[in-house]
Amino acid sequence: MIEFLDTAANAGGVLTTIVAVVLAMVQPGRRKRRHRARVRAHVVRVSRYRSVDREVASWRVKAEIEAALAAEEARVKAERRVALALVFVPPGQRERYRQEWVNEMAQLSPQEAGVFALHLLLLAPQMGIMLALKRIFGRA
Amino acid sequence: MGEPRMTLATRAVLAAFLAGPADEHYGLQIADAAGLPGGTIYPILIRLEQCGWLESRWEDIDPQEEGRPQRRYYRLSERGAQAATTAMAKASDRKRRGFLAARPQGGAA
Repeated sequence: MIEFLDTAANAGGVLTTIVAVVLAMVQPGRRKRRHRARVRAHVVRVSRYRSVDREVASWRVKAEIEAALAAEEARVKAERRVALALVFVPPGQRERYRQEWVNEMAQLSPQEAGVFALHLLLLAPQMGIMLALKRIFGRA
Repeated sequence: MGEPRMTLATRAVLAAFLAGPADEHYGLQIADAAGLPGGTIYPILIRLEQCGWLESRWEDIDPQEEGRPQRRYYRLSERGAQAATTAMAKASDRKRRGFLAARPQGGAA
């Protein structure tokens, strides 16, 4: 500011100096007002973004929770199907097949595991008969 | 022990094994190679194992170290490799003969 006034004074004109002094006195107030207005606008903008962000985040969280619940439900359904299929398997061999099927299902997505378990369940009576015949007669 | 029925699915499973007779395969791998849904191959595997064509064993790994559960591996037994090759040849021969028999014979006009 002082440099500005010096420059104005050196430039000569009294009027120029007066204008410079007036400007120097007025400008900080203007600047403050402009600055405040800018800050206010920025705050409003940010708060708008934040509310949108919050909404998007809540949708995302909801979608993630729903997907996790659906996956868990599919997994439980697949496990139930395997448990039901194992009813047809002779007791002595149940553990082996349970472990084998559950381990295979662990490498699949919940939906794929559900289909895998459904096929097992549909074919379980056939498997059960084969295993039982082998156990009873020593042949299939 | 008897011979398994050579259905299309059984042939597909045997073909997967015969592609590498000394190789070991686990359930999903066999299903993939045979082009069958994962859960449908177990009756075939049980049947082939009961016939003595397949041998199986649990994979010897530490599941926590590997980050996946143990697999049950199946492989053709020595007898199974021979019997499967013969049975596959017989089945394809039967199929070929069936196809030839279905062809029109022609005859005198």
